[in-house]
Amino acid sequence: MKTTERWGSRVGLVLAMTGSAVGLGNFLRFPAQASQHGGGAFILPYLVSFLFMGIPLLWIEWAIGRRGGQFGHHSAPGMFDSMGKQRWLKYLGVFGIFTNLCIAAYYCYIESWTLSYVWHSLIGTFRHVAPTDFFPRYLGMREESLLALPHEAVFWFILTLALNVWILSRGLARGIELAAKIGMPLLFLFGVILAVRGLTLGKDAPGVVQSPLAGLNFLWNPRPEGLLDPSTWLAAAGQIFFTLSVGLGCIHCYASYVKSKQDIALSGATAGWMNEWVEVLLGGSILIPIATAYLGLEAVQSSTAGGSGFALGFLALPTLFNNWGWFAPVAGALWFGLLFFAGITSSLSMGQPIMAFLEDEYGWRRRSAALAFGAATFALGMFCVWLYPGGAFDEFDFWTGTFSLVVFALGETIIFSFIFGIDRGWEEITRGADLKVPRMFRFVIKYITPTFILVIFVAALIKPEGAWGAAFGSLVSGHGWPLAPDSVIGKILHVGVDHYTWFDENGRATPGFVRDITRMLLMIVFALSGFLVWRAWRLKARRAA
Amino acid sequence: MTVAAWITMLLAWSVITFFTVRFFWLLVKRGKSEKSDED
Repeated sequence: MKTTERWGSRVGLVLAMTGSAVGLGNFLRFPAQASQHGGGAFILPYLVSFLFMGIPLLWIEWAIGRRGGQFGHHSAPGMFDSMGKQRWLKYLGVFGIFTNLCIAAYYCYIESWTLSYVWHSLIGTFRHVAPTDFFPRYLGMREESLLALPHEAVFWFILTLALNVWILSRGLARGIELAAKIGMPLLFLFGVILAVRGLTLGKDAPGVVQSPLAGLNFLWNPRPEGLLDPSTWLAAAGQIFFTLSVGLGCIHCYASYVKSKQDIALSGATAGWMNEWVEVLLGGSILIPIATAYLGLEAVQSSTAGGSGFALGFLALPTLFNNWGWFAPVAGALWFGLLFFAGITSSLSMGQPIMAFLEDEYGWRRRSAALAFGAATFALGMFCVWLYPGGAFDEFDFWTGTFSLVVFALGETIIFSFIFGIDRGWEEITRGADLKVPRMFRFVIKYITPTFILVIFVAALIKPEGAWGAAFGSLVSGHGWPLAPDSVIGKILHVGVDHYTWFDENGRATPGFVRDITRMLLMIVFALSGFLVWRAWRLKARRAA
Repeated sequence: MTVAAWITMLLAWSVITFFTVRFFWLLVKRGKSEKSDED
């Protein structure tokens, strides 16, 4: 069934695109990454990466998407297939199915935590129970067996998934666009209220141990030595990459519903800058200043040392809000409501490409496609819920939410510039543009952006334990390359795992077992996605014959 | 907060706010004129 859906308005489209990009990482990952890598010095490589990798990638994906839509394709396999004569091109688009499905599975799970936290904030759970006690129990981490099922987490997960499926089944303008038009302004509003409240905390307010401005200072005080450290540049480029939702296939999908002569240059740039505004201005002004005010700078530094603000966001903040008296339940609801809106506008953008694939290539109806997306996400998500304590969630996040995105983005930039051709590509980007795109971006798109992504890709493969300089020193002095356990090769080789075994002496499954079966599952899902693409084209060929 | 931190923060905020507002305003203006063209 060929879809004739369109966006209701350009502002609606840009809000949906911004909603897709604005996710939990804007509020939890950015401040932790910035404070870990050079403080204020982080912003320079961050903005350079945004201009030379983020914006060009956005334009590439918008252009591929709008062009695909003209051929009746709203998902990545069909779009790539139409970009050249090579039959293998459509198989790069498998990533656009696989990653969206797998990320949606665990992302909806995190989204369900935020919904559950809204509820628990409103009923005052965190007045009596510390989140450090509540959260592990909620996730099933207090169970003796790794295979125990956390019932409350399952309930909220199903509820969140049902909400996603319902919105998706309503269609583009009445579902996704409406959700973005409601969710994004509320997200801005909630963020501004929390930031103002947090930054105006006086030193004599109950529970305050330090000025919240000390947190801002920690985040923004430039440490120039960070600029000379390659890990700062890699972290900044990585943050830009993951915050913009590029390398997923969802921007392509949303852009495919844009008319062929309608602008994409201004729309793409606006969505990108709006995401930056939310990330830098709002994301940087809530978590760290509030946590610093109540916990002190040292505690905040140690809890963000890993480059993630999850511990502060889910374990510390709900307790800290208790210092705000009657406003505490509201503040909790605002914080987790904000995270929920950030999450749902992103997860909807992951569902749409999968539904579009089923509708375009298999002729499914929208409602059936939405239900199929829900069922597949439920099955994969339950795997994450069930085996969260064993590390299934982290495996999903690493292989689909990190590695696959980089592979897909690298592939698409090369295809766009060298197979489709930069001349045609540039014409696609600038056709109907309401913004004069500087001509230097032609060069940037062809050479700089792929180089940026290639560096991120290689760095992910061989990321060293400790500093890069020390790792090269170790290599030169003949002590070998100290692979980090969270590098791609390190993960494959189980670096850092002392006794790698599937079952312990009591016959119970170990985290090693969970990691390995998760990887097998992901490989099966990838193969199945590839099979669906192969079969769709085979059916088309038969019909044409 | 140190002066360096204030300057870095305000500079970054200004650049990002400038481009966000400028592009969003352009978009709204273009959206309106497109609508009136269609009418």
